[in-house]
Amino acid sequence: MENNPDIKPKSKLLTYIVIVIMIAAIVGGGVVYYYSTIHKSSTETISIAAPTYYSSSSTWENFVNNATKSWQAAHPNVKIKFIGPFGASSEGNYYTKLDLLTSSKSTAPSVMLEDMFYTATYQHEGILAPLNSYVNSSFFSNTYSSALGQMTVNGTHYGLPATVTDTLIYYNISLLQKAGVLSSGNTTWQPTNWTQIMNAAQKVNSTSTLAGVTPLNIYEGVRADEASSFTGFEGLLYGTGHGLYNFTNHKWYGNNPGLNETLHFYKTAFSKKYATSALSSTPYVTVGQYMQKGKLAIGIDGSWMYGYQWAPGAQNPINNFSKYIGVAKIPTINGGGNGFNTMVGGWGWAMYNNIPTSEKPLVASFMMALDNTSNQILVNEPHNGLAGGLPTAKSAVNNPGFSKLVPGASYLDTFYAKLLKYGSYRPPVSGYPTVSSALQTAMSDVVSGHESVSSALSAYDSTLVSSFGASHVQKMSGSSPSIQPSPAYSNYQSNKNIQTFFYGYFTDTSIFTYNYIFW
Amino acid sequence: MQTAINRKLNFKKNAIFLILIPTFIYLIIFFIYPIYLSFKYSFTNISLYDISHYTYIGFSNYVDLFKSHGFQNSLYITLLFLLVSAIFGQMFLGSIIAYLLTITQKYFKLIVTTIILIAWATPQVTAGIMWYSTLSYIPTGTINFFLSSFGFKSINFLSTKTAIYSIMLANIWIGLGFSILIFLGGIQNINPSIIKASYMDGTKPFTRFFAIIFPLLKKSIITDLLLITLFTLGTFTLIYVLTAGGPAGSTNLLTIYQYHTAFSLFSLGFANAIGVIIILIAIVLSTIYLRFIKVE
Repeated sequence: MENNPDIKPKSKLLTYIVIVIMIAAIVGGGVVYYYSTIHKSSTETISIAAPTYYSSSSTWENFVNNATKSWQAAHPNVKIKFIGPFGASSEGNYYTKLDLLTSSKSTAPSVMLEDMFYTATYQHEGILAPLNSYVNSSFFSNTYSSALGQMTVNGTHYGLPATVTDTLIYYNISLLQKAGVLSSGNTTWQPTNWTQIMNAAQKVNSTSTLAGVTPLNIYEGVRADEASSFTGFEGLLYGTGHGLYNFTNHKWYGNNPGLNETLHFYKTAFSKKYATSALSSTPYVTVGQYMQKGKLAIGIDGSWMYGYQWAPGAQNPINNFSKYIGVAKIPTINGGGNGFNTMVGGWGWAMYNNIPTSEKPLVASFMMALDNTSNQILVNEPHNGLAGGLPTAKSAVNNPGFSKLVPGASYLDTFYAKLLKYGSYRPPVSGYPTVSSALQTAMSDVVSGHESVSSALSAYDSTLVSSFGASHVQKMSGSSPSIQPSPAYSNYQSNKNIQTFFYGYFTDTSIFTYNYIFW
Repeated sequence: MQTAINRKLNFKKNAIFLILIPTFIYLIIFFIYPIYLSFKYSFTNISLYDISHYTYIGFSNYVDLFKSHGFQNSLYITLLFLLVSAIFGQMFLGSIIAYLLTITQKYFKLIVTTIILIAWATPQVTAGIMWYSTLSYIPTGTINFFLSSFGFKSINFLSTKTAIYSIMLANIWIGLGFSILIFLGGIQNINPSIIKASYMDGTKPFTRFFAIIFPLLKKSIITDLLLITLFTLGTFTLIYVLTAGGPAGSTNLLTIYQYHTAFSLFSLGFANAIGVIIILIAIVLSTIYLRFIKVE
């Protein structure tokens, strides 16, 4: 075999062919790589990523093209490309794919839509470009601070908010009328402190004709996840004048009077059977249907309920919405401070940090066009990418298109947007998910009666200490809220005469207040 | 000649070893190494916030875990869940049903076995959703729909006090088929003359099963016990879908507690310590089974 003279020339020829193919492949690959990446063509490309699990990619593509038509006409050398990520079937999936895309310059989108909640995390990872130098200050000043603040880290803006949602109280008008909370013919109820919420729930609970009706719903527990922390707990907590995080010394609160008061609110609501875990751990869809069907009287929930659930064309539309369901602001603990609080969340456009600095002004200009007031309304309209939300621009209320986003009744037209001035938001700090989870456990323990408020708070503090270290957790003792108190509360604070205080309070509220204050 | 045969045998032995090398490599990379990492990380303060920076903290995670009320509660729930749903619910009930199936009509046996095996073959997510829609209080589940239709008061099967029984029931439902299958095989291997003799002696069915058949099923018992213990200790999907460990941690099995610690609290060090404890429990229980139930 080895001596066969016919074999060698053939194998040599084969070797030469392989070598030539390899060289051609290497050279060809290099040329393609050069022209696709290193050698810049005269056309710039701005790539955009947005979640396609709720709206299709074509919805996003159409929106981006319609929204920036005039900008694109003014920049003929810029190509706009929507890159998905395609096939992301859930929010978690979207962020996983976005993480993968942004792990390399070659695949990262120039502009990405993100839940404002993730701003701090992405900023911490160095993915987001600071926008202060590229975006006009007038753009920021026209944005509600409760939205802008969520995309701001240490005074630097890392995104342009596109949509916001806020939290509020919904109530079934007919049920509150039957319970005597509302007089017959009156449809407007606005509690001005927590006691009035409890009073209303107590009245519903004690009305014999309303047996089987759940008086109050406020989300709690691990199963309801962020709805418990954000929609339920924090809406009350930030109305005590306290929060979760001390921005001065950059420490989480392991305990403070606000946490204590809010957990006590939960304890009372659930132990007196005004609220029930069976409902408060279900998704908002179930809660919405319960209210719609007259099985729930009062619900602390999100502004998205209307757009998703009750608006014309939504899952369970209600004709003449304002005739059946009322809306109210969430009061602060005693009516002090601004009087009300709402938790604001939402989505915004952010720029990838590692695009060349020379391209950043162009991308920022595109983002401003994409997120102008009209486009913020457009993207929040039913059947668009962020349906159910509200624009974040202060000027949006005056835009004729705004009425498409809110219930038809005149007093409701601006209700959701006006709430934003009372807005608080989750701390834009990367440790928040841990804190949120620990809060949910504390809520569950208190609501179920497994733990007292003090021991649940003690466990909450321990979780934070073990997660972040003792030096990053702060305990605040005391029980009096630091929020500016209402006159009735001031009376209590100054007199320190419990008898006098309760005598005064009785004239204004019911006997339930007595129990409530004395938890 | 003999030397040649020996050489051939040695070559075969070595060849088998060579063939098994890829399997060993696979085992080392995908089983031994992850377990080693789990042990290693359980002694660190590694967190999902920054997985590239961590320090060794000795046994702190273990000490903190055993001090933690949440962990103690979770450990208790897991052992109770194992005892009731696996050992009593699946093993004892499985052996009894297997025996009843052997003495029943052929077609009836076929139908019942098929139904039970369908339950076993059902994906855990599907089973979880199905049980949720059956037991749910709000929105009204199937059982409560019938209860209220007949004028009875609805029952919250997933409340703090009742949820643990509901997950036990769901776990028995899903695992019963496997135990029945094991015991059906075991009963068929028993010498028929022994069973015939018991009939001749006029033994009652109850006594026949517990005094004669059950003791003869030692091999099946040990196989079933070992496997269902490991399955049950690793149960996650079914319970997570059904209750997510709630309400108020009342169904917080160690696996759910571990998941929650890793992906909600982001404490990977703690989560790995919980994982190591689960492995240790499995090893201890397996050793106990093998010690106390001596297979001839």
